[in-house]
Amino acid sequence: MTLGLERRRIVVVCGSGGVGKTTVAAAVAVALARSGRRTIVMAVDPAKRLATSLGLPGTPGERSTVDIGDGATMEALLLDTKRTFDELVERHAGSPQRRDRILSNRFYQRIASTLSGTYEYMAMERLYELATSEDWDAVVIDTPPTRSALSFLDAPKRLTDFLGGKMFRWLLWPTRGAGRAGMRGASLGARAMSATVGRIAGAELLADTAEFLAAFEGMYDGFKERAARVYALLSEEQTGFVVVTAPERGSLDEAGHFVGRLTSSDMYLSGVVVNRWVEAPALAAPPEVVERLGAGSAQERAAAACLELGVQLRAIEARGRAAVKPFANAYPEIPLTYVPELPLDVHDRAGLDLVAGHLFGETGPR
Amino acid sequence: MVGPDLFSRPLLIVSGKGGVGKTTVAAALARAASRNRRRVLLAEVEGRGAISRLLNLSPPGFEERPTPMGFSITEIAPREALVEYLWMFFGMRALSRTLARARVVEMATDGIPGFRDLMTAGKLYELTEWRRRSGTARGRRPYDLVVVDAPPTGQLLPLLRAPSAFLDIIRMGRPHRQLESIDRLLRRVAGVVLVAVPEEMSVAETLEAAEALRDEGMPCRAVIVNRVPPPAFPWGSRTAARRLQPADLAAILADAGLDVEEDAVASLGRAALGQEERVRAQRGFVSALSGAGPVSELPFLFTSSFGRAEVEALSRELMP
Repeated sequence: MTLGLERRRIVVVCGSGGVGKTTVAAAVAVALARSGRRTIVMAVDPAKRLATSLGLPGTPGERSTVDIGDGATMEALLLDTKRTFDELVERHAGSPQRRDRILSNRFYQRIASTLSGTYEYMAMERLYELATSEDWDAVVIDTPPTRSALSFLDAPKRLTDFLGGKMFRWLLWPTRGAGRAGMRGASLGARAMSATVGRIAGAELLADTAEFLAAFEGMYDGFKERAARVYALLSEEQTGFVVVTAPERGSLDEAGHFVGRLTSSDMYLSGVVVNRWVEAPALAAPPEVVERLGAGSAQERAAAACLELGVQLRAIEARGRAAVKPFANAYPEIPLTYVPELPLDVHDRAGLDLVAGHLFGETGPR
Repeated sequence: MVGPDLFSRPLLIVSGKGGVGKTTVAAALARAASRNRRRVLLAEVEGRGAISRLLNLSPPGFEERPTPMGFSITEIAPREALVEYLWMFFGMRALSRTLARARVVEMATDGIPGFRDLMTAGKLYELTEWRRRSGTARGRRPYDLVVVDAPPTGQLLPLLRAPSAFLDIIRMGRPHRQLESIDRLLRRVAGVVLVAVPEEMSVAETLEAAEALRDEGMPCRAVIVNRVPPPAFPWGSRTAARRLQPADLAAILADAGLDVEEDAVASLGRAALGQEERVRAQRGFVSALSGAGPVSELPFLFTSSFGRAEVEALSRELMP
């Protein structure tokens, strides 16, 4: 089966870490660009050799034009995953005073660099910018490496939840001068929790947090609205997800979680790519033949080694098939696209073309 | 083979780029250690049951469960770690039970940046030093070694830094002192092991992570290169192999009495030469890793399944 991308203008490539997302994203972009679509690919952390040989931007945040042969080009953007939360604050703060108040808050400074979901959120923000621009017929986005493929989808909600500060509001109720009525309104659990936090963490933490929240209050709505629009974009018909997996159980389980989530969120799955698939040559020899050849001339020993490798590859192929089986059984209607393991890491256009050939067949993307 | 002093640390934190086989290597380390030391625990951090899947056991959850492999396994969940902490150190047994179900705990662990990592670090402290100090009084025996199947390298430093980050926020009382102890455990006592595979991206990420660890004062104690393939052709047959044309190979196989198809022979020859090319490229990547720390290699296992037997085999490569 090849990947079907009809009617998809936005292609989101996702999967658990280390399965080859970036390579697949780049190969999809090359194929789309070659089919005549004005294409931009947003890459996250591509391999250095691939980046150099393609002419991808060297610095995060930059954009470059990539020559893909036959006079065709595509644009490539390197996502700046190191960007901190400061930029989001600057964008949504509304006034310089509020921006400074947040940026200088001690609580904010401690947390900003470790705020979970920031990178994923940044990727979503960029995606939104590109997707709403008229300049592109195809936007291909690679997703940041995360513990789980799902965290990409959850990033906007996690961030808005945190910034919405429901929890903090709740905890801080008694300390923010809500008065007697407020105390009465707060649940027993909230009061107990607030007392607990005060006892464990000290009143200073609560004060810093309260100040942070007060500063954040006004910019929350704009932020939340933006996040909601980004999320809505992902469920539109023009958006297709490509899930990449290795032929290993853990990776396929993760792919299964993701596929389930896409289905339940009414998002469109364009296909599942089983990357680095090993298929053994259909040639078997009895062990005594291999042994006899192994004791022969140099050429015969080389032939014996080939036969031995064939046996080893058959074992790996069997392992791959066993890993894919539960997924295929659970989702019989989902097409699987196999990309074979290549002798070398994909590090140039020829390599990408090879991968694209496996993704789309001879006809190219439709 | 890894250096023998690696196992003298009470805590090994195993990380690496996604997909390199962290869990397999962590399990092999736990298995190797359990042959000589009595109590070894293999702990998965915020995982999706990778250890139990690998060893074909039911997921242990937050419980510490013995396995037929000679070590125990557990899964560290930040939320449960928080609840355990509250009742252990503040006697909030009743409250902590209510909290376990409360959405506020979920929001605290998910919402406060770094808090999950902090809870994980705290649990690692409880499993090692805290138990050693308080003895078996509470029915919790300390482990001689805890091997952690840690998050990928990208999320490793936030985990290791979490205690010190919170030291700045929580500046007094018992929790402050506990944070200092946890920070000391991670920085001074624990050993970080990085797992890599002989491929460009993994090597680059490992070198980068090793440097970041050095800057943080926590040098990587061992680099374990997983899935190192053997040469496709035995010594003495390589030159012949490279000159071997599909027609030659077909002739040799036919002479040996095999019924061969042209396509199959061609694809076999291609696979073997591809493998040889891969192996040569990978040797270069393995040697580049020496910049990250002391390197040990684990062979690629050509087995049709991967489970306990393979973990056992790899553990003997780590410590014969």
